[in-house]
Amino acid sequence: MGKDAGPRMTLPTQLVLRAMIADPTREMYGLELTQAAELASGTVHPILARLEGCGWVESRWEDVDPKRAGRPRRRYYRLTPDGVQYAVTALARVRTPAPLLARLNPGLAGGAL
Amino acid sequence: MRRPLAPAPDLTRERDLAHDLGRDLARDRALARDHASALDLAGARDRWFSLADSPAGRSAVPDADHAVSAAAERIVVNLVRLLPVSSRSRYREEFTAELDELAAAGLTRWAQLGHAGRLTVRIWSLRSAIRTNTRASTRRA
Repeated sequence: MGKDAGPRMTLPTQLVLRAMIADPTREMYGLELTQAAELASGTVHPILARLEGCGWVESRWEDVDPKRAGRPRRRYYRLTPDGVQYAVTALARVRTPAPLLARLNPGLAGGAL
Repeated sequence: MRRPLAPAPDLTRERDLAHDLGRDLARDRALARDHASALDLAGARDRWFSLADSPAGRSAVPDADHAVSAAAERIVVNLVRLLPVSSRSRYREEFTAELDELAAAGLTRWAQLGHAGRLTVRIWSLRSAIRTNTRASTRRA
């Protein structure tokens, strides 16, 4: 699965990409992305792993000391510059009925693209 | 001669009205219960977002009422053992961070267990994605 092949554009994958494309420079952690895409928790991690494997997404640890912060570090995700282009193209190509997207996530339907 | 007693028409109507009113009250009570639980959820969501927006505002010492569920944490720690060795520490930290966020947002231990359960359901998919990535990077190398 390389950059050209790309991930399978399932509905949850589309929702994750639309949430990320809404502000491509913004880094989001797993739960935040789950909220933005309005998906069930746990759904985003396999998707992010696939997108990361394709080179569409990059991730990094939050720059805090867990002991001082009193909580574990978050893992932040962001679309790569190439990933933004690939995602825009891929989302334009898929034909998901707008009403279905609107029902799944009204905030993202017709917004990001 | 005395006439047999019959309920006055007004009284009958009043009784029917009272009956209807009772039914309406029961429905209103059910609606109020639904609204209350929706408000509880909204409150938890608000707390979650306000904490997510201001990480510096959080206490370094977790509130006893908002502690991470030990059972959920145990599930997550054991769950990552199903992942390839190279990814275990990453996802253990990532998943425990999520539980910590949920606890800080005021979600109950049951809700945290639900989150751990949903992570469990998806763990095979995550494992498959990680293994595919590893194979692809090995081929490229």
